[in-house]
Amino acid sequence: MTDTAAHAKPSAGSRAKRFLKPNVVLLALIPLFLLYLPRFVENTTLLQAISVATIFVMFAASWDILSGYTGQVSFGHAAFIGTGAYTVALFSKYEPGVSNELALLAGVLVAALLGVAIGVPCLRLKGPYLALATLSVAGALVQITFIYKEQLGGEDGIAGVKNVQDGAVTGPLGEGLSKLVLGPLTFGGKSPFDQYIYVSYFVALLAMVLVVGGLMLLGYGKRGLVLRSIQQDEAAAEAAGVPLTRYKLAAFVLSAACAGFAGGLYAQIRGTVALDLLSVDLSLLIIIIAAFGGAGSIIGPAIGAYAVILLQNYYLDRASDVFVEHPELKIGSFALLLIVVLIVAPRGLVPPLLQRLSGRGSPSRAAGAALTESA
Amino acid sequence: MSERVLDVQDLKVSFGKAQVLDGVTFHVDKGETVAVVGPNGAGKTTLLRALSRLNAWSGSVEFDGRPLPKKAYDVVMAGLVHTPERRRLFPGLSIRDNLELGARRLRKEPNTRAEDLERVYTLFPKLKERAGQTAGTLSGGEQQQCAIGRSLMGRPRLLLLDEPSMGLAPKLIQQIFSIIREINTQGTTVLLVEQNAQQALSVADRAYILETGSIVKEGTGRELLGDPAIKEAYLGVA
Amino acid sequence: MDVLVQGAITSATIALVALGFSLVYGVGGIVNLAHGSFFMIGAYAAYAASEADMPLLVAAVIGVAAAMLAGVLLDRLVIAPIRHQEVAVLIATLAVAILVQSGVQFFFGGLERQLPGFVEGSVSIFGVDLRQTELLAGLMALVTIVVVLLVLTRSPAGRMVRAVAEDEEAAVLVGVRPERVTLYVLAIGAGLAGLAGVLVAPYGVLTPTMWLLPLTQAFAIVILGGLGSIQGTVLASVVIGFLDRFVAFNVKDGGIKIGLVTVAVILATLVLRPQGLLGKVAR
Repeated sequence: MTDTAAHAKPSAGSRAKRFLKPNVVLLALIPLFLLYLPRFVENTTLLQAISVATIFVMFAASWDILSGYTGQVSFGHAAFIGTGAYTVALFSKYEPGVSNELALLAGVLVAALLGVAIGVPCLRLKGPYLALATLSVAGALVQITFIYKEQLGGEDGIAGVKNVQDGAVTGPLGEGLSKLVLGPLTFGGKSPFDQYIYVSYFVALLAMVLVVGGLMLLGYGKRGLVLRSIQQDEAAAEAAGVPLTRYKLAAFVLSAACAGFAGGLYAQIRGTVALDLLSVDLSLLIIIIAAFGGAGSIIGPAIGAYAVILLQNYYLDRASDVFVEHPELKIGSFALLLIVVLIVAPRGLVPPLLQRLSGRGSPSRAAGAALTESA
Repeated sequence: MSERVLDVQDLKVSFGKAQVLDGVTFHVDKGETVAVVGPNGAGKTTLLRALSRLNAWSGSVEFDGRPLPKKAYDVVMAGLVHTPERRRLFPGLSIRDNLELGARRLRKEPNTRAEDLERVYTLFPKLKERAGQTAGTLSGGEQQQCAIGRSLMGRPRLLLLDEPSMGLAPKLIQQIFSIIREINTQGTTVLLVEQNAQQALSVADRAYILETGSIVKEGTGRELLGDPAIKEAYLGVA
Repeated sequence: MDVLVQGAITSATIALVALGFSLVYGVGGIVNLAHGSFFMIGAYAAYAASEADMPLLVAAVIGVAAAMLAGVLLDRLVIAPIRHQEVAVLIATLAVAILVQSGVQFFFGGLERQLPGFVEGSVSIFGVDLRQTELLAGLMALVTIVVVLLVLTRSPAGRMVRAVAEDEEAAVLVGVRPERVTLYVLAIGAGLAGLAGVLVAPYGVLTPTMWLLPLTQAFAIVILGGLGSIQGTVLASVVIGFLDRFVAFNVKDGGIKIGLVTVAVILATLVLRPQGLLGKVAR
């Protein structure tokens, strides 16, 4: 904090590297582990839950590049997820001839556009304004599904979304990986329903590695430093030469696009879209995941997603019938846990997010350094 | 020896690694006007904020023979009333509301209020004329009057004044200091921090010179006014 | 004419919600994303009491009391410990909103509920047929708002509230405890929102997600009215209230488009006039 400008440059740079670079080898073990997991886990229900968690890893990571990094905390991430998912579903419903991949791309584009539409008015907004604006936009989208009930299905959602196995790319890719990991004979011997679970498992995994890998490359590089600097001190970051508007908007759009992609893929895996993909519950769930995993690190929320979603979709159901009969108690419990954590250990369990939000350190200098280095 | 109202020993305040007050020791006796004079950045405002528990500090402070209460609110209730830098009135509230808020310390003795209000209006007739206007519409000098009036409404055991001359024209500065003298004559003990050494030293019974976090000189107001080094550094005369 | 009469009623009930939201923001700098939940708690508590065969008036009192209790608990248990961490407060209060939502879902299920009307029959005002319970809701809300405004501007307590809103530290220096004022304002704000919930319950619809629209509308009102401006809040409530009914009556499927229009107002205000109608430049 008392760094003088003279030696801040090298020290900030090296400090950032030391602190932020996760161990690449260790990191690569996670997808490898997940890749071979189906070989040893026969329980397809569990695998299905892991697939969903893998999708949520992308939700959380895409939230993190916006909220954890730049500090523009989004309380309506479901808006982007749902937009991607509903776009994909609409293609299945009205233009079934369009390939899965093209529909997914369209989902990404529409979500990115929404990112621009929300991002621009929100550029000047801070904390509470941004929170309420993002929250209420997601709420408005829910209403749109009722207004265009015939097209969007209202509370019923849209069923019969073309699934990943039908995809020109995702189908063969998923089947190939399944045969590779399980052996062609084993895979061939499974029921079509189980085969589908394997295919979607691998497609989700592959997509996750691409998205999270990409976001990590960005987040741990110089641009990530710049994004962090925005969170710490906008004015200082601007003074250090960060083109604020461009970076903030870019973070919004990138985050929206990734969320739209993950949402669209989720729709193809589930085969349905419904209001849960636009709900405040989903937005909060992502914040919960990020808070427990440690926001602003990409990898933290990613790991948090596995923990929280497996609990939600698998273990809690087996722990007590109450959760089966009253699924709403799951998100309720997580919300309660989050509240307790925030109160009892506002800096302890959730250090990265809250510490950075309380404005410690001086990454704006690091950002300045990053910019000069890149120049 | 007269009764000691405030006794400060080795008061230290630091913000991060910056030591703003580096072991300040001084005292105020009942009935005195004591001035702490120093240049910008010497730590004067920090000193008063520390006494009001608005800053964390270390050291020992006794107020009225007892350790200073731990919370800002309890400090006020104990009778150490702070007129902050830049007045800090409630600009959207009427002058009368501002003054009445000052009487919150005495809310359990409701009979004092009318009397105190009258006293403030006598000291500052302008405030009475404009009692219904919002404080934000007052001129700088009137705002300072209102701020001091607000503090007086609490019948302070010790009145802390932070730079009452700030931003005022010379004639108004004269006025404010003669009011401070009058307040003191009426029985209020005053601790004043000021950049305007000339005025502060001439109203003060005793004074301390604060430079970069330490007290470098002390004496009666008169002594310090006559001190050649002080004359050169603070009064602009060689 | 329908729009005018019903708009006035809606404005008044919405203003009840928005006033508390705005006051809590002004006083504590706290944006309480669980504010809409007080509305819901008031409505459901009154509903539960009336289901337990209590007289409606008692049920109404229980509704308001439950909301106030929730406000006190929220302040003491959740907000006070993290008061100065803006984002933590936002996250925690959103978590509270979802917690309440899941609690309501658990105890009452997802089906739509409704409270019986406080008064039976209908009246005709300026040629508009109106259920008496709606008229009562509007009048009660209006009276309450006037009382709240009078307390704020005329009483010593209101003076303290405004002082803390204007300059928290200066308020400390005259012997005001901002934490206490925040607690009281939160409790009263919660009670006002709860009252709105109770009043609307006989002609609105109770569902576990009913908290979101009033929160969004309160936000729109606070943005439109300008931060910390009480007059602005009241004025903007009228705008949003009439807009609400205008959309409901004049737009096809208007009932479900209200939220959409509200969000449009929010975004437009943020872009065109971030300081609101009467507001000062945002702090």
